[in-house]
Amino acid sequence: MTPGATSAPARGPVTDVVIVPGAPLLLPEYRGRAAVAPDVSESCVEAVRSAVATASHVVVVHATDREPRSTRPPVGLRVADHLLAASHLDFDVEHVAVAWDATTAECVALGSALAAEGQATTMLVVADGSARRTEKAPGHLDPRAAEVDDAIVAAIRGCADGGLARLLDLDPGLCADLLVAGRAPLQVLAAAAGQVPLVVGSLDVSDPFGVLYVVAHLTRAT
Amino acid sequence: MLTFRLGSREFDARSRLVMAIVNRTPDSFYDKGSTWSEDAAFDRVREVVEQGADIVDIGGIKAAPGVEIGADEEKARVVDFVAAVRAEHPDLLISVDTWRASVGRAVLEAGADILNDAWGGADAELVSVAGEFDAAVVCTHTGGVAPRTRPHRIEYDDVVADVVRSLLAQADRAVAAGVDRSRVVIDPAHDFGKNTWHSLEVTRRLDELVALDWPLLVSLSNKDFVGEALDLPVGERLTGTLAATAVAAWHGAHIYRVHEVVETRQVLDMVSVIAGDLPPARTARGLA
Repeated sequence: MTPGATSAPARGPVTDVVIVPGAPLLLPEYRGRAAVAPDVSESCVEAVRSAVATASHVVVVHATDREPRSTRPPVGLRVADHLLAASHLDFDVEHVAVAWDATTAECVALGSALAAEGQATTMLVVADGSARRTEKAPGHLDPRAAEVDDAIVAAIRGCADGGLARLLDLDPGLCADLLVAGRAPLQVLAAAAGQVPLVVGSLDVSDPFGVLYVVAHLTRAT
Repeated sequence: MLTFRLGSREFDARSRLVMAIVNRTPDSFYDKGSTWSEDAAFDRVREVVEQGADIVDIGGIKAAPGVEIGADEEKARVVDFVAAVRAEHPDLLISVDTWRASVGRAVLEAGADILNDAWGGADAELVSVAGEFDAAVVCTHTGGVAPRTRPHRIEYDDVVADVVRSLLAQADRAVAAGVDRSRVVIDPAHDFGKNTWHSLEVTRRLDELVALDWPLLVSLSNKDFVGEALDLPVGERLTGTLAATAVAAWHGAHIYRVHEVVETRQVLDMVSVIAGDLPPARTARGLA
């Protein structure tokens, strides 16, 4: 099936989780003669490819755009579709949008509904950390960014020990201040897969432009 | 869409190529003999290649009036040099600025790709030689003046019309003489047979020459029309040259014969990016 198409849900237990940034610079339409973050891009493609190879039912969880000024689909959705297409694999895909400012309770409700039984599913979560990590960052420096970002990374890194549930502790107001675009999708993930025994397959953390990028592939513990 | 060929390479209408001037002369107006010695000329070629020039244009006779240089002396200045440049730079496009068919034959035998006939077909045999070697030829508009003469009191009813008529006639003649259609380049030749008003009008209306659908070369670098436009002497005309270059590039000219490669390359790339003919080098602003 082509990316962007939405199938009837055949989703089931999450067996693979992929977390990627929702940065527009990952999209071909915004690429110049040279990629500006080739490592991040390659890491995303590889994480998605390996996950989809295992579980070809894909649920994309992305946030709505915070300040939409166009009629185009949210950037997170487009990044996910691009990465899925770049996997050159066959998959069924379902897109789940969560409002960027959804309450934690709304995220939990949405995530719980996704945690149903059925076929093995890859959950592709488009989520960034703070865009206020440095003075040159899009949102300039906010000294509170590091602590929140560290908590996000620690929660993902600790997925084998129930760490994902700690994503529910992220404060929506603070995250909004810190331009953490991935807070709501991460909380949907926490609710959907918090009880699933996952281990870290790969985890790359970087902030080449002052925005926290997490590229992670979490796999079902065997 | 227009495609054209130089040497073994093919280009399209969106191309903006830098042709770097390499003078084998002791007296050219801009460099005043700085590459007269062979070592200096080799260094100049290496430098412009490093700077991103697509073509070198090697000339053995300055354009302005001066001591007469016969064909043998001209050959002595350029032929072996062309062979040596070809040996060192197998993929570099080599043009030679000459109006003489005998010199053209010698440099094509030595490995040149392009004959830049800067004097508007003064030697009618030149295009036949180009055709014989499947070389490219640059046709230029000089208003019919003899080689190495300055324009004096020339007037046109419509300078662009005269340029178009002359260049189309020369291009047709080149094709008839055996030059491949895709290897004929036209050049309005700023300052040649033109006062400053003429060169400015040609620049302003360059789109009319682009519309003729031949590859278009412009030679603007540090010329008098720039100097008179800004009242600046040779040596202080780079900014004006680059402004004219940007205008020519926006109109769609394809080849730029220049002294300053780095600055020209940046201007051409910038115009290409603005025009949408070339993606920006890298884009992260607002996209992280």
